Amino acid sequence: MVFLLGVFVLSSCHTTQTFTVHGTPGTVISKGQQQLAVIDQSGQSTITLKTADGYAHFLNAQAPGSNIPVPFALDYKNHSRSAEAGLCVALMVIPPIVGMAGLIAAAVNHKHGGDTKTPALIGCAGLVLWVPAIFVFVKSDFPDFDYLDDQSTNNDLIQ
Amino acid sequence: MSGVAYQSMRAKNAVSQDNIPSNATIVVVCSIDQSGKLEVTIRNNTDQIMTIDRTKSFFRDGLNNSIPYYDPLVTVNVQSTTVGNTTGSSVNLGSVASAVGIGGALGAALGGVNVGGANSTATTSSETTYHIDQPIIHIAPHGSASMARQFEITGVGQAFLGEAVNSTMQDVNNNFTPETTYASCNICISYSLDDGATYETILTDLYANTLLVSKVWSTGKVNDALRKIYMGKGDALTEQWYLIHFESAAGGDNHFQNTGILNYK
Repeated sequence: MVFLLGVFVLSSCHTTQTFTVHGTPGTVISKGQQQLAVIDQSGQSTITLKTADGYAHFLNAQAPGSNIPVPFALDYKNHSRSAEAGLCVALMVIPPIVGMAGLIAAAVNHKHGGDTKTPALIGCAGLVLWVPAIFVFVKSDFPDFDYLDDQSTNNDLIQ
Repeated sequence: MSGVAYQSMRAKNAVSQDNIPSNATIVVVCSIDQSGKLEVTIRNNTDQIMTIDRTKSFFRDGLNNSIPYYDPLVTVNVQSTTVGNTTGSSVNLGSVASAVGIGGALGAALGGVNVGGANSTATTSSETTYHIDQPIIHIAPHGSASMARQFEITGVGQAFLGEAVNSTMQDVNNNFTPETTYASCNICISYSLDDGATYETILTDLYANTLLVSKVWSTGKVNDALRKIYMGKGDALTEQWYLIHFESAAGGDNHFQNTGILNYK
């Protein structure tokens, strides 16, 4: 159960978000001075932004032959991640408790000649799960938004 | 509710860089930052030394308050450092005297006085920086110099636009003339090419010529709001100075152009 929770949190951990920008082929997409992508011949390009930087209100699109970077705003939908954040905190707390309890139980059982294999296995599993949980907790962001999958430039309005 | 707001500034007699004639004497470059602070740079287009009299150069705000560029107030910064061993808490009055600017015999006398229960052999060193404004600036031939003072233009900048988004419940698309504008200011520069024997003036009138506010009516559809701005003002991105402000619950962000609003004589 704990392992399944860990897999869920790992799969939902966020450090970046990816979306597709549609526009004229050759248009350069940038954020500030940093070039992010060039729209390809199919008229689209995939952009990945770090969620740690927060919501990026806009990017710039400079069409081929134009010297004006035209801002386009990034559309989003609200997405509360408080449940994921809570699970992540739980995974930080539960595995070490389970791990220590399992190992202590194994030690006690060993002293009294009981089953040591099962509690030791549970204990080790808990401690092993704790390591990725720490990684996820440290690395993850829980942004309260998702960029929409498809974004459009505004070069059709401003040449 | 979030939204996107746009404003642009012009000079009454503004010109582009390409339209400044080669025989122009002086070029005034008005630079406004995202918070609406104006800084003026003067370009000397002649082969002679140009003298700017800052006591006779002014910023005039939208309420016609005239403020000279020359600020006779002297700003003093004092940095004190106390070095020494103490065994308890104490205050060396010499360092206090130095910090508040008491020098001379009194300051020296206080230097050895400690208040508190501890013995101290502290020594104090202080560094004093005086910021004294210059009434006259000389600019080398074909050189440029900043007027070295910033003034805030009321009704311009990200704070104003953020308030504009939050205070209205409808989209706004207004164009303004110098007479009807909601934000304006005037810069008067006195300059001389004969070492101060005679002075001429150049006046630059700045005014906000547009204000557009586009609300985000459907949550997260920010680009629709931005596109309304572009549709309402086709030359939005070719103004010499403009500011696009994105206001949202996540905070704000700006896109702005500040190539400088130019005027010449």
